Amino acid sequence: MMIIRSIFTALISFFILGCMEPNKENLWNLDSVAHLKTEGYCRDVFISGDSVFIAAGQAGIQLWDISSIVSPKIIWDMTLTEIGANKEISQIEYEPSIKQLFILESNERPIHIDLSRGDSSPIVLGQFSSEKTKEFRVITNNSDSFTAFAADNDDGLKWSRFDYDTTFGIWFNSAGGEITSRGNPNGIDIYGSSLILTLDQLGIELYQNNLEILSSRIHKDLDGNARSVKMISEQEFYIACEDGGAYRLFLSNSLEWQYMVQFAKDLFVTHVSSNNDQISLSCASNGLALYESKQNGQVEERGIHDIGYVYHTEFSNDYLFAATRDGLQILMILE
Amino acid sequence: MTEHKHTILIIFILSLSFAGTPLEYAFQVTTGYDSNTMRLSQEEFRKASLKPSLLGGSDTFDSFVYRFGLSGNKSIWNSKKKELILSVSIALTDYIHNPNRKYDSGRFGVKYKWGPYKSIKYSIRYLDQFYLRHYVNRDISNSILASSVFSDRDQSIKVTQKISRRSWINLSTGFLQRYFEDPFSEFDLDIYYIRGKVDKRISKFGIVAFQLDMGMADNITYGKTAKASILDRSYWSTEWYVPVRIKYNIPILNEIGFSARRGERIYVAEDPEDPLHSGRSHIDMKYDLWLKKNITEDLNIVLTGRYRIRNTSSTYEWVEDLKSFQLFQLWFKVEWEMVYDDY
Repeated sequence: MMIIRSIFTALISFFILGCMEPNKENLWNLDSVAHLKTEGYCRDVFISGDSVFIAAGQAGIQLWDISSIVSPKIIWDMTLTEIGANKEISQIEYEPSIKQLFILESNERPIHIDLSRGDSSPIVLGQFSSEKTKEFRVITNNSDSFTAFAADNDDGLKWSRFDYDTTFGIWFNSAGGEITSRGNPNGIDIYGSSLILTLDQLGIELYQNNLEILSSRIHKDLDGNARSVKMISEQEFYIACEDGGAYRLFLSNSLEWQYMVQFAKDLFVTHVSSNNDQISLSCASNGLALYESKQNGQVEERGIHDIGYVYHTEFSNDYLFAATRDGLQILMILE
Repeated sequence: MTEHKHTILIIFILSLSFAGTPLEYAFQVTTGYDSNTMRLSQEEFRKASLKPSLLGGSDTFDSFVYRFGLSGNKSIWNSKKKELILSVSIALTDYIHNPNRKYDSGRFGVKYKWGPYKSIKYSIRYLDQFYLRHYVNRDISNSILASSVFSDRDQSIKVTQKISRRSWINLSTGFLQRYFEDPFSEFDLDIYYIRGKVDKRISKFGIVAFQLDMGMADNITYGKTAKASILDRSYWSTEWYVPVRIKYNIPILNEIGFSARRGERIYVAEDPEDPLHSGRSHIDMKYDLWLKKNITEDLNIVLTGRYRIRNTSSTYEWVEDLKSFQLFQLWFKVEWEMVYDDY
């Protein structure tokens, strides 16, 4: 009996000691927090506090409340007819300090919507810039003024300043201008006084904005078709280059490329967003690709996630908001 | 893995120092040929001809193989018919025409015997860094190839019992961990199996056996990496195996054997979004023939040939074409058995 007991003890010990552990891969997982059904394709998202503005494609625009992140509630929506648009809405941007909303009807002119009279009664004020606008950015000058910069696919870079006239209670287009770019602009981003246009086959062009006098600083050709850009600082930015993958660029003060790293070369990348060391690539039908930025300028893969057709992503409060054809997905990256 | 190999070796070496019993050991040198090293289907042969990078640096589909092995047995305790035996074997295998496939393997066993054909045995078997082939690393790209390498840790307990004068039965259960190296951990499997085998010794003929094996593989990393792990690779398997060993009335040779093995694997995936695994199954047939000759009392040679064919069934014809293959292997083994008795 003693022998049998000893044998069993030995066998159990061997069994426990003999097990091995799986190998870990350095990938990041995604945890789904909420999924907002937007009816139309969710083309773009803009987060301002607990408010999430959605460009919902042919369903127009929507405002959602995410004060409860796991169960967002829709506050209001506007159909294309209410907006006065015919095509789908592809971009949305909100300026909280002046309570003005800006949207883009795909390949048309940006539309200005006033939300200062309460979230529930948006008023369409009109359009600005010109047709074939691919993307725009708005910066608030003060409580009565903003300037919109537009990547105009057939003309170049356009800007329009609006000032609020308290006498008439309307926004006047008080100034504007245009600068011809080397190629056909696809995207735009602004950081401080620097501004970058993506120029499709011709890469990118960096501009200096000095009191609304725009001047070209440097041009760089890149692989693929430069589509969208995300500026981290006035010197560091990420470029989505469709079938050329993506780039991480760093420009020195002397206008020399300190590093220029191409990554995700075999993915079709349409948009890049980042949050500290986390990089999210929107890869159209390939879903979402996560990367980690390293201090030496390198970028390392952290996994592709098949969450459907992804147009655009944004980080906010450590959540990742993914605009997909199946609606807006709120995700959390698990490192 | 290396730590465990060292542990096994240390246990075995220490076991030599006690119990006044002889050590039985053997060297094996094997040379062989494998016609389809990476188990490629006809469709993949065609693709690899156009894109050699699929072969992961190998210039050929086939390869010659060398294997060097060492095995030993030692009884560390006995009393009347009862006996406690340690056994160990290690081998190094090198596919000389495939730069990626070079691995070592081994086994350690403890057997408690209380009579002829009456025993219980615990075994732990390892297979270290076995290169399968190159696959696209879908977790991070659509085209980047990386080598798929796994290690096995197989633990089993086998009970042997005599059931008649010339027959005995083996019942075993086991737990096989098959874990892949980075970046293919999405393939990781925990495999639980049970096995039953009946052996019958036939007078003036040899031994005939029948074995039935059933297993369940749990894809433990399902959904735990990125895109590549959205496919559930869990499966059920059954296998039967019939070996026949003829040992009498054979000219020149001492043994002629042949066997047939039929394994069936059915994937549990039923997701229509996963055409590669959904509703997929395959039947894997292996036919072996071996000839054994004892040159001297201590030295023997064995020539073995194997034909293997795997037929895959799926709703999708392209999956059937992709996952079906056949191969031929030939092995020539020289074994030198020795006894070390210093007592």
